[in-house]
Amino acid sequence: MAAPESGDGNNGAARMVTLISSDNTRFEVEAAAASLSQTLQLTILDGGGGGGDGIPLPNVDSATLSKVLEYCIKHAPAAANGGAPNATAVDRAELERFDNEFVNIDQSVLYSLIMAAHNLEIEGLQSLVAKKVADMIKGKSPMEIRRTLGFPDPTPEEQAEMNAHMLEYGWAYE
Amino acid sequence: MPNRREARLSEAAASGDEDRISALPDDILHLVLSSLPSDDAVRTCVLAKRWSHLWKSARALRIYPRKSSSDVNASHRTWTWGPWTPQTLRIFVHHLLLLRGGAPLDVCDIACGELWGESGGMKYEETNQTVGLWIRHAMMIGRARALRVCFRDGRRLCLDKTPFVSETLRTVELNDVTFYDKSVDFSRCPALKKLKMNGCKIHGKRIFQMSKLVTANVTLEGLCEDKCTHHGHNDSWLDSYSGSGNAAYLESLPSCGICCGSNNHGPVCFLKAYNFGALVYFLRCSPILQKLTVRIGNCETRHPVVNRGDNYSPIEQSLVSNELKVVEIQCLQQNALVEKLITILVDYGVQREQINIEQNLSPLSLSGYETWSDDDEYYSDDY
Repeated sequence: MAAPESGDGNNGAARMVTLISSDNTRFEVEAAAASLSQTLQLTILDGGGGGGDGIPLPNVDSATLSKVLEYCIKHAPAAANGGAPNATAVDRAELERFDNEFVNIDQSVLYSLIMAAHNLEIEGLQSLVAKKVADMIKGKSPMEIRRTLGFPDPTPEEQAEMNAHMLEYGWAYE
Repeated sequence: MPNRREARLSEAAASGDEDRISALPDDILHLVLSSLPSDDAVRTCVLAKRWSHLWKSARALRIYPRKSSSDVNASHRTWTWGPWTPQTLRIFVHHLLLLRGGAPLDVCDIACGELWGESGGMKYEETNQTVGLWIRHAMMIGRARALRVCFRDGRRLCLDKTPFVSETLRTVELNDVTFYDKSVDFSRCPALKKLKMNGCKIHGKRIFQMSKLVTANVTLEGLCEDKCTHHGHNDSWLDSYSGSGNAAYLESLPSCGICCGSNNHGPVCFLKAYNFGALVYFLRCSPILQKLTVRIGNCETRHPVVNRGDNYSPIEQSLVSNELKVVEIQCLQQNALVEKLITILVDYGVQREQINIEQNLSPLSLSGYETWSDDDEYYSDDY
């Protein structure tokens, strides 16, 4: 279960951990927030990341890590409530607004974020970025998707293959 | 075509990360494809070699309303597709389910609403069987955890012949579905946690059979009450509960919305009282009920409520839930009927000061049922 020893959470100093990005920037963050990452959770449960140690994250640069932590800090209270069964509609709407805003970003930033969410195994963030990519695809034709996602233009061979594929998949184009 | 210019721009912007999205880890691509409408997911197969079979492992069947669209590829061949018709939908789903094989299918969301065009020679019975087969496939082969049905081909979908058997099914939402001669039987879905029915017609006498393990949150909304109003005689949801020996089911019911909406203030039970014998039965069998709302709506004027005195006896000891804190009676005006109800409740151990009476209830109307706010969270725990 999440939030192992946070107790009331509000009684003064919550436990902090330090995360170190690939470019050596240190981020101090509440253990409860960092624990949204399945990858970090075990280390933190073992008492890692405290004091001067810090947990190095060689795959995540500082810009991406700060974005990831922004997400974790926002979502930590709801996660500590076990999916927040007693969250009010207002709370949920606020989180939703935050999420929408959060993924309203450049494609290159989105890509880094996807990789970070994947490496750090942050379930909620994975779903969120996957939804964002899905929204970029939804309702578009293959050519439009190629352009949106920045696929290179198909070579003539690839084009021929695509044509053959489309014939095979006629049932999805009726 | 303004799109073209935009597309060029975004292409230029993305050129540095060329193909990066297509190079994403499989886990993420599965998540992406699983949250797409299934037809969009299938169409991604032409994007790149690596994508050509990814759609098969998308863990969802998602059928949503579709707009007309077309695609012109580089060799100027045009492909078009339009709103779902009975034929195109059937062809699509059959191909999808057969070709994807036995990969897990967490979500079965057949929510295309009313189909377009003629039913293409398909008889009503055939349509019911076809959609029922998809649902059974999703339950048996796909081991679906969430099922939603919102589908209509001229008439309400009838699921009489679709057995609901699943170890994995956790949430079910049925919209606009009808059941003629059978009870709605979820007794073979031991994992079911949430059942929501909206605008359904249930003609059978015995409404629910649930697994004894179930602690389901059952919600019936909107036209679900049709049965009460159309069948005249003292039939009601309550009668149906009482007739089917569902005490075990009611015992595990912390909150229940019948006919009307619930709210955010914890366990609540709404029911529409047509006869008090059934109400007493309901109270007796709901040991963890916290709030009871009795809404006396148009039955007060349209049908004189029958007090079937022989159905209950005040001599019985108090059997009302110890948890019960508030009883709210909503009515047009406080009349003899309301007084009678209060007497019965007090006889059964409800304190008089726990009973609130709210007058000037506006007559029941469908718009009153649209106040549910938890739709968005309905599927959230199943992604």
